[in-house]
Amino acid sequence: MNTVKKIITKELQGHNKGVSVWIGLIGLLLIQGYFLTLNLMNYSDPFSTPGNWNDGPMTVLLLDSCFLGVLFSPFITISTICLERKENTLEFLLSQPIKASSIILGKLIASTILIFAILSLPTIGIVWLGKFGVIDYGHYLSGLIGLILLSFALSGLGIFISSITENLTAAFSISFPVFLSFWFIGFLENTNTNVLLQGLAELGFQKKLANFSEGVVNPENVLYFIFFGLFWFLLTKKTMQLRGWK
Amino acid sequence: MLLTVNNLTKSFSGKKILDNLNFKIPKSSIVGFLGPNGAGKTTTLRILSGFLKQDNGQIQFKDKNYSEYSHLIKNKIGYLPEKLPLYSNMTPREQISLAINLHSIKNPEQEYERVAELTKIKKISNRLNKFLSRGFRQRVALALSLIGKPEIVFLDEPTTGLDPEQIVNFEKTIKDIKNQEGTSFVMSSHRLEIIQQLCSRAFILSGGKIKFDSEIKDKNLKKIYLKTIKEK
Repeated sequence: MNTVKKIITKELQGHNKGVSVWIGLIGLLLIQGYFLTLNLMNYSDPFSTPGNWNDGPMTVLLLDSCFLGVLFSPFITISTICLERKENTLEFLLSQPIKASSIILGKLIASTILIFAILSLPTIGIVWLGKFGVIDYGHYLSGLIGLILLSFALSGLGIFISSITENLTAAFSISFPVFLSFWFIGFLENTNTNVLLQGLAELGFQKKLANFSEGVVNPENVLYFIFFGLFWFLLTKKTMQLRGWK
Repeated sequence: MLLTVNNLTKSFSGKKILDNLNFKIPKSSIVGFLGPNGAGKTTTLRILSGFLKQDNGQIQFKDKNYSEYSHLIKNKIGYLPEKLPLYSNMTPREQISLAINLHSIKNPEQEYERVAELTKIKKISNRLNKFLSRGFRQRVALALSLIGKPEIVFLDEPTTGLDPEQIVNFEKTIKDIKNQEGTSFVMSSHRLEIIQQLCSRAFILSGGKIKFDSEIKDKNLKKIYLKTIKEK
């Protein structure tokens, strides 16, 4: 576990150094602030009672954050293994006295932390809004649990895609539509009666996240995201083994 | 013997890259792998360094089997790949500290001083890797391979991209390290004169097989190597 911690620290410090990361962060903060303001403006008295939040701006805000996560997390995950291969630093890491699984796990946890930290930026706005009315923090917390689970799932999938190519453009071109597909396949449920498509719709993120954003933590949904992330983690490990990397 | 390799085999997409390699590396020696491009030198060193897994064959480090004790053995070996494995947004000090940390060395500052002294990189230790010249980048990569006082270091085409003066300096550094710390080196190159300058023994590799194994002073070495290149 100690080596995993070292990889997490290395990954987080690496992201901290890029100016583009800070520019992206400010951009996302502005977008999220814009969404928050827009949502609040649709409600004449959003803070009158905590119960209003269930159908109100907080639900919309949390779902907006999830969608933003789907859109921007490829920028974080594509570099995890792909860039290391391109710059040959993966050879450096794999020749150190640490296991390949520790490297992947460290990268997975670091990406999860980073994506979650960015997605949870509206917390600043929520806490500030608390000065003007009653905030249902329990509801918001369940949304945050959904966000952290989504971050884990996206990181797992993103790291897998990052491990199959050393071309950054290719990794991004694959990640972006795949991430979006997992968001939009949820809509199949409303449009088709085909059993296969209905089953596919069950794999979508949106339906699972809706519960979290409404303040409901359903164990089934929690397990879905954990298994989703772990599945891609194990597949990444297998990919590395198949390439003959130790 | 420090390293004993038996029947080492490796294929990529059905193509045999290494075909039953057998060789031994003695303690405190510098051994060279000579061969044209595609001979299997890099694959051999990548397997020995623990980066790649062989399909078949056994590697014995002293009395321990590589596959059973790979985690422990990685503490005893160093590796300098041909394409230097440096993080462009890190300084030499930061990357060396990271490697020291991954080796779980108890006195990191002392270890940093040791490798920085051996490779003479102190004056550039706080510059970003991406701004360093090829010569200094090479030294930083060498410093990384020396962390944890390895008993054997694998150098893959270590003189690629270096000018004649840098090559002379590099050769001197390797000889000094061998004399000061008793480290063994296994290096690959397609340039006979580099191997002749540094090594005491050479293996000529071609088509994944060892074609010739001799002392460096063997008069037939040059003749057989030139013949191997022509055949290729």
